[in-house]
Amino acid sequence: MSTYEEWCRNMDAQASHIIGVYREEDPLGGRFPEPEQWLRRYFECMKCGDPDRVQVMVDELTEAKYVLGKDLREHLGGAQLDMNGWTGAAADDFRNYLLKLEDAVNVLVECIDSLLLIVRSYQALVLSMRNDALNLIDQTLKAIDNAGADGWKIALAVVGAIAGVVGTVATGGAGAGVAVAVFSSLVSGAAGVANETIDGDSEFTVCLSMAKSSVNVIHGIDVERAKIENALSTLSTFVSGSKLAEVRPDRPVIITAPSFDPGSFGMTDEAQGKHRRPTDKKDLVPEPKRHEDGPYDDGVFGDRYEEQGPA
Amino acid sequence: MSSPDHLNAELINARAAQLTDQAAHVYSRVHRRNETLAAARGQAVAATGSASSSDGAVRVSVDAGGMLTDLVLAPGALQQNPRQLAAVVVQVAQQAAAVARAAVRDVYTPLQNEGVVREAPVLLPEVAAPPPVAAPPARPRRPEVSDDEFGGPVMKEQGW
Repeated sequence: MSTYEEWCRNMDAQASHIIGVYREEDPLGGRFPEPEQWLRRYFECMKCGDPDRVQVMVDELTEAKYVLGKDLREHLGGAQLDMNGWTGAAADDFRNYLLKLEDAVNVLVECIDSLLLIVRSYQALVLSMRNDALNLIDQTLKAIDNAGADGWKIALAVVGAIAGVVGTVATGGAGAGVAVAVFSSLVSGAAGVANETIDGDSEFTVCLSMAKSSVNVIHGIDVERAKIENALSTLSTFVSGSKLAEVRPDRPVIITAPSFDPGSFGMTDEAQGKHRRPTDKKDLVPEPKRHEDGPYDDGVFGDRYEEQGPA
Repeated sequence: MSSPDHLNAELINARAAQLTDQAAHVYSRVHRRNETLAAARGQAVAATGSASSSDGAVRVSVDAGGMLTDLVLAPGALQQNPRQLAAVVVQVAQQAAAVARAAVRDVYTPLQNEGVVREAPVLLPEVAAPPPVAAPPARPRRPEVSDDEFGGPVMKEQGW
């Protein structure tokens, strides 16, 4: 059983037990169903998010960074070396393209770094959310014990870990462009609700108190989640729209121009020697195929990512 | 790099499992208590009390709430002065109610001692030891009406 499945099993069991106590003690016999619904929603929300899958994402992104770095060193660097000795407008255009491609790779690496920050923030959010869930349940059980024993009204503070957790993971911000913008998105916004109190003088009122607190805790999670969504949105602006060309440079114009003469794309006459001059008029760098719009492309203001769409 | 405890999914799961056990225990305790209380409530509601006068002439039965459910008067009881009979009936009814309350109390006292319930249902106060039913003091009889004033002919054969 994965740690996620184990967590979900515990949440289901705890929901069943605590809602069971609430039902047993409900003097209205369920005629006021909202608190039970709040508790159900709370436990369902607590099952959201799988840190193991987040770890897989982190590993994949780290690998992508490594591959990009390797490409930069081996292929792009090699291509630039291969361009030595090439002259002419086509060569200059292609050389310029390679430089832009190098910049694009660097921007992409920075984007991946920022995405890693976002993903790690999300991971911290999920785990903090779980800690808060357990703190709330722990204090509820303690309160039920005390309420059942002597009937005194008790109040137990539940220290929340969720408030501002996203900002705590983002310790960077010293980079340029993407990193700064993403970091700002992660740390900006309200802090959310830090603490909750479980109180009551009976099992029923304690469960009712937990139900009320659960609504606030979910709100606190929403505040932090909004920061992550905002950061993702900010990041997407660096790889789409007017910024798309920075991570996907326009192809060398001369290659696609109708007047393109493959024969002019070569080395100097001396260096060309007996080598055959190119004659293929097909694009050396083909136009990337446009992917179909995904489920998130249809935004409020129309097509969100113009670079995608029917090919 | 190891993550801090509060960000370690496995440690969080271990704590969750512990709390699941505690929650199960709490629910089980509450559930068993309510089952016990429901059974006790049934027992208490079914409780009755009966008592009879020392001579057995008056017998009274009441339910858990002290409501009269049966009253038997032996023929000999009807020979008594009505006031005396009423006093005996009241006294025996109170004794029967006390028996019923004691039965209810017997149901709840062990549960109170075990901490299952905080307090027993509100019962009527204990009946103090019944005072002996003394024959009510003989009420002075109304003096006999003399015929001198009433009963005789209004018209008397005497002069004005």
